[in-house]
Amino acid sequence: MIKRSFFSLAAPKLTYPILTTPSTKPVDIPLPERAQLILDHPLNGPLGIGVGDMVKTGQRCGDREDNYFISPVTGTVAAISATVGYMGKNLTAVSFKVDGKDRPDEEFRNSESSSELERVTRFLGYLPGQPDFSFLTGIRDNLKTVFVSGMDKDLLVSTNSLIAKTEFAELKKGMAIVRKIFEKKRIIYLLPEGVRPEGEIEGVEIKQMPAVYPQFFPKIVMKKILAIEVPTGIRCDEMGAGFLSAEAVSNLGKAFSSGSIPLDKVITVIKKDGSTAFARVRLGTPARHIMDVLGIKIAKGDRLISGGPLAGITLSSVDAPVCGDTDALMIQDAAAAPPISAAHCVNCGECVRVCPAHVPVNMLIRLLENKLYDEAARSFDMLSCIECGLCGYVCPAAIPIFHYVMLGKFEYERARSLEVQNA
Amino acid sequence: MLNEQLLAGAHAPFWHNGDRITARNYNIIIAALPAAIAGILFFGIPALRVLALAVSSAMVWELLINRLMKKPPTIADGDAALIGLLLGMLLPATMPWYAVIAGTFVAIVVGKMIYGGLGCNPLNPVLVAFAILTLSWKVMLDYDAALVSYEVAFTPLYPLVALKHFGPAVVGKYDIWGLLMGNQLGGIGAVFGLGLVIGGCYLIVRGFIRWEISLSFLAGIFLTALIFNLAGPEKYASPVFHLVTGFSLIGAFFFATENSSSPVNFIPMILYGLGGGAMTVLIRNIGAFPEGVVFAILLMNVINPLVDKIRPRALGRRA
Repeated sequence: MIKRSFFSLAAPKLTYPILTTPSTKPVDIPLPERAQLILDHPLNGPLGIGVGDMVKTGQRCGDREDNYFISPVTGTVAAISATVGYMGKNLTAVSFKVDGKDRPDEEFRNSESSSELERVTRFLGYLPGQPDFSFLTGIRDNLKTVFVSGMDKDLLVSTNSLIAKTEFAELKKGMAIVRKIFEKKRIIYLLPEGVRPEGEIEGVEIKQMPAVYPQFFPKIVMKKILAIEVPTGIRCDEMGAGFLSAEAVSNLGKAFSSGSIPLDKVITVIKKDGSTAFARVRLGTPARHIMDVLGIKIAKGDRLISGGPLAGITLSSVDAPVCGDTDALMIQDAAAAPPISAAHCVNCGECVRVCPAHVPVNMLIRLLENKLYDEAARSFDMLSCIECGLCGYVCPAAIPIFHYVMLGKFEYERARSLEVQNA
Repeated sequence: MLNEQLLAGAHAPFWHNGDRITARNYNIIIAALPAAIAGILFFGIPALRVLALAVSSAMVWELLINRLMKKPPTIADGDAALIGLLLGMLLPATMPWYAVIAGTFVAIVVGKMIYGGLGCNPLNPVLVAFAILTLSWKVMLDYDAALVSYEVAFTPLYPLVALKHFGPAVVGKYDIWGLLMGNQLGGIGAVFGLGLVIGGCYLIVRGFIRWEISLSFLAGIFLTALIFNLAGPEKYASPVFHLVTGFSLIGAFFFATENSSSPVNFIPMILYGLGGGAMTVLIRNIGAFPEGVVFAILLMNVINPLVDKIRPRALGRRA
């Protein structure tokens, strides 16, 4: 945990880790007995596959064009159920009983005659690294810039830095595919200052950002590099910029050169003492399995966090699976949990000075504590928050500010959707 | 089996930088100590008596209010002790016990607790108490009368009263370095200017107070006094004299910077400080009171919510 320095006249700066040793190789985690996929949509209607069906590794499941998933393992579908994710999002969970040996599905390999765009939209929407290709189909003409980020959003997480460092050849192939799909768009490869790629990548600009948290958050990147401020309530792609992680692009390269869909995710495991290790795991592998292989003990009352220390999300079960966007799993000892208090804001202004989005946090928290979510959004810039968590990190009153803001956003959206329903 | 791996749920961030209000308050107390200890050395045991009574009675008042409101005790956060200490530092060493206790009552109960406690007070609690004491027991807070029994090696006149009554010709005899070193009559902890500056610099370097407020407050005093001085040097004292006398330094580092009643954005902090400094000199030079810091800062506390509306546009906010 990075503590406040003794001399703290200026606002704190948290720097991203920069990988210097190229020897860090991810540990290969063997296949688990059970795997689970979390699909990003509610369970309404048939999935095109049912409990007891056999699936092969890399098999495209689902009968509709836009609604499909790729089976990460060979085995049988054990269960399909509805589940709820962060911010009350309704999701679908598909569990698999895994056979010991992978039997690859050949549909993707056999689709070589189709165009890159068709193959990507039909098969590669769930690559490890969670590429958001939604902007490919919908508002593709509006898109002007594609960012490929060789840096992770949160601190201590180095998954994408590792890929940027060790998988340059695949990354280059992936960039070529990205260029083919997004013909004539500007493609920018984002790296932290002081890091250069191994070689030139044709048709790709390289831009460097200071390695200071939270510079690699999309809205900050857009403001700094494109000088575009994304208005509140608007997504980055609606303003003409799409974001892909280095891992997703590297996997795109692998998919086209090998003819099979990559299903292994690289994750950073952040241990209780703050040290990190890398693991290469099959999508859907439960966290418990990874910890068992790595010999990490999880005790009662510990926290298992998907993501990093400042903006991660706690998982409720050790059986939670690795998803396409799980860049890190962090285990925090119960004793290391930061303080939380119900104290009042003392108006010291630390949060205001540290906020990258210039939100008047000291005023906002007073409204949120009193459940005035509508006014918080209207007059106190609640929706400008980019969700970096720095406010809670610096608060001397130990107010869970970030939690309050997310609750505020959730309640605000809920009230608005109710209004729309009842209108 | 299931229970053995029961995980704790929480919201991000899972790190904290370790900064706590309690540590801040204790650090402010430490920063105030050089001036307070110098005050005890100058004014002797009576000064220690006033400071000890102020600190302890402030803590007792807060504990009583906690009990009365059926809330958990909050005196461990150091804020009551800090308020008591700072109030004591403004008082003369001869302040009667009942006036000290009445002062801490006003500071803790009327200045802070009735608004909801730490962080909820719109005005600086110490200054509220001092203003009420000034209006209630004027003679006790007349430093010349109160400290008349002290034998001192320097001009035995409270500098700002001397200025008010005899003009800059008399106060011109005061040695500025001597004033800074505590060769003046005044509140126990307010006379040793150098100690206050050292304490203030410590707080600024540690990031516990906002330098913008302190510096702009002093700049406000200096600039306004300079304008007066240039317009009428025979009527108005030099700006440096204003900086080192009265409550200028203790106000700049310990009162204007009180978190709850001061702004947090850059431009508002500068306006707040400059305004407080300018008001101080206006009250001293053309107002009814010899000392203006207390009322100037209270006035700026009142306009704090208004000036703090001047803030940078949030990311993505539509105009």
